[in-house]
Amino acid sequence: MTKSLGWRLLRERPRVSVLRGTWALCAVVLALAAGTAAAGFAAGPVPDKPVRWVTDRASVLSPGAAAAIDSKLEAFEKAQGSQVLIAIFPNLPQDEVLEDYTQRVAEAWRVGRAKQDDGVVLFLFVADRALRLEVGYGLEGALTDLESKHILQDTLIPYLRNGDYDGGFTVAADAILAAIQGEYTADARPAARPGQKGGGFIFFIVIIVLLILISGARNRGGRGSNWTGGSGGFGGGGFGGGGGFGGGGFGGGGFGGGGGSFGGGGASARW
Amino acid sequence: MTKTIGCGLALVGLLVLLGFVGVGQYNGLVGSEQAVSAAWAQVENTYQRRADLIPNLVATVKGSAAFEQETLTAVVEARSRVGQISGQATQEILNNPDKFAQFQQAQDGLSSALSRLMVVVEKYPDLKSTAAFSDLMTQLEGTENRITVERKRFNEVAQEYNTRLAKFPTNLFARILGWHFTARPYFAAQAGAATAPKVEF
Repeated sequence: MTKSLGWRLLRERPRVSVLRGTWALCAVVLALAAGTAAAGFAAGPVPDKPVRWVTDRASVLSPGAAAAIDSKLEAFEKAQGSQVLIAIFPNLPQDEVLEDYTQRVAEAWRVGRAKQDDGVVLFLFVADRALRLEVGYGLEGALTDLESKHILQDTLIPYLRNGDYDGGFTVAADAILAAIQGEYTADARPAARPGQKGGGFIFFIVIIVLLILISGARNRGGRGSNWTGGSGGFGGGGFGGGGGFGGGGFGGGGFGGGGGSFGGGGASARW
Repeated sequence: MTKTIGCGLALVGLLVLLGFVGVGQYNGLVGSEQAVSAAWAQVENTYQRRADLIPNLVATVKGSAAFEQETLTAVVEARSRVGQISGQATQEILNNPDKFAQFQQAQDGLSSALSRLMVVVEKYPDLKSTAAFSDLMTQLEGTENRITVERKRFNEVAQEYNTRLAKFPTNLFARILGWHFTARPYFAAQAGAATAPKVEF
């Protein structure tokens, strides 16, 4: 059976096997290219995405105060759309620089909406006595570096010095919400980017149609179509995929990131 | 007869297909290149923000009695060197690794002049405690932090573009069709900065 198939291939379709050889070569080259290009800029891991607006992984807040702040932040997002998070950790990971780490974490958690970039995260690393208010691009005007520093240094830290985490985070959350009150509205949903997606889809359809036409022509020409296993050679470079759209967190009641970006705005403070 | 027509049709179809893939490759590269330019514009914005803060900073520090002139002069000079380099067209800096290196050198020069100033300021507690100075410090801190973020982002986007440019089959298309895309340089680690991205490309 196999012998007769090989024999037939040799006798009737020398061109097909040449074609196959080319595709195989392409596949090898492609694999090599993918392997060598994979190296990238190193970035350390980030903690899991939070499920609520207040995340206290160091257990410094009382459950009552944490729940109260959490529902306030949740209500604010429902009303205005901007996401404000509080994240408390026992300590900053080793070999991490405060501002670099918090920017990466805020971005990875996708805090704020993609188009408005209106996320804010207030970080505390208890053992390091380090605070960082990370402000998304879209709120840098409302919550300036100076205002951020003021909230940390003059509002929050005096409470922390007395060990009053509940009181400190309550007033700090109020101060943040007051600063960004009225900046955005809840219904401003990110609109789909015009053009791009449609164009890619039409391009795809055209290629499919062409492939059908070609194989049809080959069939009519008396040769069995033998295009299987080949089409991996061209990975159309033009498709970047929309990405970046994640619902605004209105769904099941928990926090869901919206894809906001952070450019390093905000302030840091230690005490 | 039908065989020849079929073959011809298949050939034409293949050429058209190649053309479409080529267009896709080209458009992808253009989009990627634009992303690099956008990231570069952000880098320049943040550097400009820093440059704009300096006259204020110098004026505030000067007001303090008998502040060391040398340190201030160094900052002002570094600031003017940065101004000369930044005045050049974006494409010129991005396309020319030497220009890019000069740009980075000038900006790093200003960084080190500023950090020397910060060290000297430690000797003037009266100056440090004024509200005007501490506000300026907060703004400068924020700006330096933004510079770090935008440099990192630029490196990431530039790497994405360079990778796409070097990958098969884009590299073949680019060579055969003579597209004028050139690889983008990266920001190297700033001397003494622990937050600098590692370049492993």
